Amino acid sequence: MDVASSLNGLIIVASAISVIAQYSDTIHRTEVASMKDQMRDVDLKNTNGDAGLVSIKPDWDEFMKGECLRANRFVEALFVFLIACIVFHAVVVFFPDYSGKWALLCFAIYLGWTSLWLGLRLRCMAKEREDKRSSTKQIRATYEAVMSSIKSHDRHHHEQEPS
Amino acid sequence: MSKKFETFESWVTYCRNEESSSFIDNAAWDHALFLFKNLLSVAAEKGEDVRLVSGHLNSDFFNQILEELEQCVKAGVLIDVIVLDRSLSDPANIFEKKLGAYEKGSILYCPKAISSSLPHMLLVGDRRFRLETDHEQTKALASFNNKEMVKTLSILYVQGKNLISGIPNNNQSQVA
Repeated sequence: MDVASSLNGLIIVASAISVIAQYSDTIHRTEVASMKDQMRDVDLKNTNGDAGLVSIKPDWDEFMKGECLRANRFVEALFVFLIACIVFHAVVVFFPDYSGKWALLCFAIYLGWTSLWLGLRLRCMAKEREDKRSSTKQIRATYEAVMSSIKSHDRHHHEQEPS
Repeated sequence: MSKKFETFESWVTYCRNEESSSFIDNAAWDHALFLFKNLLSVAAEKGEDVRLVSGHLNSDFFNQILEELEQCVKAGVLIDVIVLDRSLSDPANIFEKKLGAYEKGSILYCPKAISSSLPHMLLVGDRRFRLETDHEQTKALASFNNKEMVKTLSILYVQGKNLISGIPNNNQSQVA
């Protein structure tokens, strides 16, 4: 197999991985933003020292920051890789005497290394989504339980006030 | 429910056996029953205290967990129950009678005036719970290992109990 064919193979693989990375990044970012939106009606800015609300406030604060892991750096890295491949392809075509095997090896190692780290990042992103889903459930359930309890106490105190 | 489990029962059994910290969503009467049975069984198995807040002790439901109640009684665990609406008391309720006769069991009935807002929950030990998030639709969240949540719910339970205990003419059947 000649260098140009191998290079084409690398370009196809890199393009496919880049699409997967972009897609995963968008899905992850959208879901985290959606969970953050769902949490907006849980207002814990002022807990009034209530032990139940205080217990979920750190998680809520973390949630409202809206920060999440991203894969966009990998998309950029793969984009740079594709440009380098195109340039290298031109070099190989214009200079037929240049074998380019070592350069091809470097390209393959770069793509393999980037793909490995991307895979690990996607795994961490999946775990982060799972953790955030859990956290959403915990914050909402606790918040509703605490608010119900507060209503009971308020009603009781209201009934005890002299008319 | 996790995708690798085909049924709700297998998911709950896995969470129970592995003491998983995963949340279990349930929105069906039979799911609630299955969770109650499992949580009470664990309480008996590990000798952990049971605390329950319920709207009323309807016989259709509670008479089906008599076996698990019996296990708890044999294990000698504390069972502390708050019933929010006594007017719905069911004479056919064997659970209520057995619990009333149990020396380490207590039932605290609360006047309707403050009843409706207290969250319905079942707490077992310091890490297992089932919390109703929507009573009308039987929606609830449960876990077999979540200390943080149980800590918060315990605070609510104690606050609710103190509130009810502070009201004159409340009727506490028996306290261990």
